[in-house]
Amino acid sequence: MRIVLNNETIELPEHTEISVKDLLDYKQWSFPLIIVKRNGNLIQRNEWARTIIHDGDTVDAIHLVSGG
Amino acid sequence: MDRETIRTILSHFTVGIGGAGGLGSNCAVALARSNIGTLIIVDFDTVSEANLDRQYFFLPQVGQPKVAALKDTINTINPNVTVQPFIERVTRDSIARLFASCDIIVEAFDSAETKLMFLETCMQLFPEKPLITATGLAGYGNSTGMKVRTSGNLIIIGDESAEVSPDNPPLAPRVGIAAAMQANEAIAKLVEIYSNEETYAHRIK
Repeated sequence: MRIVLNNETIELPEHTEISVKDLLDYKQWSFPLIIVKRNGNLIQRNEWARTIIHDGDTVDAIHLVSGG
Repeated sequence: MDRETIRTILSHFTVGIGGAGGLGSNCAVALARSNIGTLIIVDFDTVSEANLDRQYFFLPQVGQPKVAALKDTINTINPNVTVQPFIERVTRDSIARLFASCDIIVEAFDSAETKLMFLETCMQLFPEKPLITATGLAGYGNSTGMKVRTSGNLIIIGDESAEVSPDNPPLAPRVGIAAAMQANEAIAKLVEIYSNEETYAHRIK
C-alpha cells in the first residue's frame, strides 16, 4: 500500500492496510504528545488501535513540543 | 488587494488566542496592527520580569494580568480593536464557552501538554474552524527551518522539533517569527473566508 504521510508518499509493501497505532510503531514514533489526522480528520488517541489506514489515505502526525 | 481593503476585511472578524505569552502576545499585536475586529485572549497568568525577554509587555506592567496588560497595549496601538480579555486557565470544559464565537483560533501555549489538550478539544468541538498551532521554536538560528504545513483545518507553524529546555530556551526572535507566522496565516485565511461568499455566509458566529 501507498500513503501520504506528513506530505511524503511512502510505500508499505508488507501491508494492504494498517492501523494508526501500527503505523506509529512502524515509524518508531513513540512521542507521547502527538496528534494524528487521517484525511484531514482528527483520530482520537483511544481510536488509534482500531482506526485503519487504507491505500491512498493521507495521514498527518504532528509532534507537539513545548515552547511559546 | 490594497491596504484599506485588507484592513476593512479584517475588521469584520474575530480571532481567539489561547495563551498570552511569547506567541499569543506577539501574534495579538500583529493582528491588532492589521486592524482585526475582535480579539478574544485567554490567559490566567500575570506579567513577570522574566517574560520581558520575548513577550509583548513592559516593565511597568509587571504584576498585571497578562490579558489586561495586553488589552491596554493593543488599544494604545489601535483603539478600533475590541479586546475581550479572560483571566482564567483554559481547560477542556471552558473552550466551548470561550472560543465559540471565533472565526479562527490560535493555539499559543507554552507547554506541549496544554497544546495537545487545546488542539484536540478545538478539533472535536469546532472541526469547521481554522486552527493555527506552533510547535518547535526554541533556540536561535535556523530561521528557514520555520515552516508552515496544513492538515485539514489545522495549520502548523514551526520546525516541529526544537523543544524548550534549559540549554535551548525560547528567545524573542524565533518565538517572534513563529507568532508573526501565526498572524500571517490567520490573515490569509480570513481574507480567503471573506472572498468565498459561501464560507463567509456560513461562518459560525
